[in-house]
Amino acid sequence: MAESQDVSLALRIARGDSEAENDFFLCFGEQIKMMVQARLPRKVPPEDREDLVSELQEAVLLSLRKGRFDPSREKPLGAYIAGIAGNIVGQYFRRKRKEKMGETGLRFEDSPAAGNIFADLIDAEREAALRKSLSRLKPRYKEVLLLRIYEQQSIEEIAEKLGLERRRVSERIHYAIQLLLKECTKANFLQY
Amino acid sequence: MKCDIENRSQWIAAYLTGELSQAEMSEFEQHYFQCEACFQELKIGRDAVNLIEREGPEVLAIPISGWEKVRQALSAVFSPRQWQTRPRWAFAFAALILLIVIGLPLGYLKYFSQTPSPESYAENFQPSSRLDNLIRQTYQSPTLFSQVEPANDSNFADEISFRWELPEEQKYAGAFELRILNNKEEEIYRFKAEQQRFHFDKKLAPGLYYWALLTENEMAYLGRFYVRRAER
Repeated sequence: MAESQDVSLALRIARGDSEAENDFFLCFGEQIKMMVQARLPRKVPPEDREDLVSELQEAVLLSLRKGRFDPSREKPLGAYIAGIAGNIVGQYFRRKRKEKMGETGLRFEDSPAAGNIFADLIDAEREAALRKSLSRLKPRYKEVLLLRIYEQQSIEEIAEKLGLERRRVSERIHYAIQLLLKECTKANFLQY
Repeated sequence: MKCDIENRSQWIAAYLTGELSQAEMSEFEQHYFQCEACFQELKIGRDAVNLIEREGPEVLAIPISGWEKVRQALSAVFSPRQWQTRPRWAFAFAALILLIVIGLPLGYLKYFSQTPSPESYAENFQPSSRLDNLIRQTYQSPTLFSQVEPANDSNFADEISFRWELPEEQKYAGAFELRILNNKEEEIYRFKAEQQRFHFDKKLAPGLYYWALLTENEMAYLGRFYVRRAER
């Protein structure tokens, strides 16, 4: 079976091919960022987010250089990197907890850019389309998105507030996001 | 790579709202690491989530109502700097004005029919209708604190002890900021309270005062009290 692109690049990195390192981050840099983003709550400051992305990139690179990823024995590369991402984010929160206990103060600044390291990647036209789609959603979908994403309420809290079953709240949130994705697909913002 | 995932948008929605288990998360990450179609769609979803996180009601075109928004709006009143740097404050503030215009007549009557205004002839005792309206909102919403002192409309002649307690499940690592305003909404004192109490021993002229507790990002409590001359 032919090697997939990610495995092929990983093996080249292990052999000391620096060009492969560049290619690897060109191809998978965004996915690696996404793995950090998905694990961090909204209030983590943007500079910490960026530091964690760099930390993960460095850790992945070191690990691949040392040949620690073995495609014949290990899980797929995506899952391998997700594991490293989980460890790095876990270490970050442990560090923060220690700082807090040492009274150095854990202060999550809720700055306007918080939770938004990808903001610069939003194409203006696509953002305009997203804004339009968001404003056009039916009130019941807007409501759950607001409560879950903006106010960071749990599914249980929302279910109680709206008098709905937990499952119904999840479905409603999923459906709202599906509608948005569908609109953007229709508008041809997805090119692959 | 040909994508064979079923219910892609459901996976994306659950991933972005943190509803996947560790195993599912890893499974999906393993998939989008190689699947361009899923990753492109995931990025769109991520952008939408970022917009909602940043702008909330504004981007969703939801009229602002409810206590949370009122609290944010009042923070904007107290912190013009935040207002300038955070566009949603401006929107929240506009909604606050609307709320006051609509809610004031009813709220004012209801509140003051229960609380006779003492010495209403004196200018320093004239209540701020805007702040009173916000206090009224707090009675209709769950409070952050399990206990707050002084109780509303308490009377003081000299020193004032402020105390507040958070329920055990509420954790806030930062210090609260305590602000005291006069009845003209002018801030006259501001303190950083490292502990959940503050002893105020400065001299205040007789009148009606408001006090607010603020976290770094929003107002957590608003109350009022009177300062009267000590009886001889």
